[in-house]
Amino acid sequence: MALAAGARDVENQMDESRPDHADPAPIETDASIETQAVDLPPVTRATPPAAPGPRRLGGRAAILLAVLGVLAIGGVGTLGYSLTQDLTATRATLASTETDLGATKTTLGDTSASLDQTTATLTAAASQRTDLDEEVRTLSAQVADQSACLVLQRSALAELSRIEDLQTDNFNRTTEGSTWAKADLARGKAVSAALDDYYQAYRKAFEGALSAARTWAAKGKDAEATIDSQAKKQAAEMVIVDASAKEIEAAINALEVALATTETACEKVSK
Amino acid sequence: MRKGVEVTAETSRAGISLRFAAIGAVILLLVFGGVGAWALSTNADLDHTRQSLATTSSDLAATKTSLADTQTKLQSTKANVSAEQSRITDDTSRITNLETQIDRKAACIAVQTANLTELRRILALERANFARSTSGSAWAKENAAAYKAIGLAIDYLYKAYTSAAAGSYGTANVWLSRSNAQVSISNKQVKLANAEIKKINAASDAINKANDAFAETLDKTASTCGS
Repeated sequence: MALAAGARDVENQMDESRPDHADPAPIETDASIETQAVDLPPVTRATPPAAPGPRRLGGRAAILLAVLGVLAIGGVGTLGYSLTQDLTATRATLASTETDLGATKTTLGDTSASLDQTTATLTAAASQRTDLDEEVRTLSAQVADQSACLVLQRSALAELSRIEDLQTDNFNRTTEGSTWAKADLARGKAVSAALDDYYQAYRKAFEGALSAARTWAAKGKDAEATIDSQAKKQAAEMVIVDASAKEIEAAINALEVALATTETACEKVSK
Repeated sequence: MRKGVEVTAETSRAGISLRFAAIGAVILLLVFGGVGAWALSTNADLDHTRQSLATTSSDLAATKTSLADTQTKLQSTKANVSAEQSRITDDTSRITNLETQIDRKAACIAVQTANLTELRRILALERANFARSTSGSAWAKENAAAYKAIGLAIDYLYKAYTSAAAGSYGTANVWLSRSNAQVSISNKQVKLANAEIKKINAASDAINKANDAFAETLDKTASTCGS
């Protein structure tokens, strides 16, 4: 195609020379010379002979080729430029991303280190807490044992105190001022009275004063009756004392069992 | 003048010589090739950079995910540490409280143990003293003997009276003598019984002192045991 285009260019150049023949410059003539008509030979188009030397390319074709070449180069260059721009932007993005990645990795490293340290702290804290929990359990159990011991002790003390009161009360049933003691006092007086009255009766009878003797004897009988009644009172009191003593005995036996339990319960907390 | 003159075409050639054009084309091709190679190289570089970017972005995303996970774990772990430390504080406080309780209860147990021992000792004293006044005791036997003798003395004196009233004065005097003898016996038993009562009273005094001292101990017990 380039060669064909070149041939057309030659023809065009030939045509462009035509206006020189069609519009010739005015010819100066000598008036003394007669003007003759001249028949002009037919104009034939000259066919240029093959030019000697190297072959040539038409200017337009060359320019066209050059333009096409430049356009192609420009296109590729533009593409390359665009790619370069893209590459630059991508590299910038990559650099930014790498920086971000580096920073993130650094943060991750720091965070991981912090996590490791915190995990170690947590492990130590959990271990310490487990030990403390165990200590709390042990101490709580000890407190519970102590509380159980104290409850048993208080119960035993209360029962012991109650028994002691019973014992004191029972003991006091025969002490001064008690019913038994008052009866004993009255009985003692009646004994003295009986002895005195019968002695007076004996004396009066010895003296022959039988009437007076009988009177004293009757008084003696009354005193004896008093002795008997007071003795019965004392016996009745002793029945109460004996019954209470049995109750106390039973309570003490039960308490001994409770005290054995208390001692066992309290033995382990005193170690 | 122009007649018979043949017009001929110009013999010099127009345009660019092919050699020059070829050189230009080669140069253009070289430039094109260079630019194309540059573009291809840039494209390859861009592809490689994009791959690197994709890899780096993927790595960044994974790292960010890992960071987020790690941060979540860290926060969770910190929360757990905080919870553990809170429990440690609670436990420490409870231990202090429990140790205080143990000390106080131990003191109370010691005091109450002593109280139990003392009260049992006092009760034993009371029972021993009580036993001195029960039937079967020395005092009871002596008291019974005294009453028995005095009863006989009364009975014999009554017989002395009835004998005297009947005019049997000799018999009456015999009964009187027997009565006096029983009175003597009774007096001896009463002395013995009174000696026992002295022991009982002495023991009662000791028991009362022990009870008084124990009452003071109970005040201290209330202070120690907090009740």
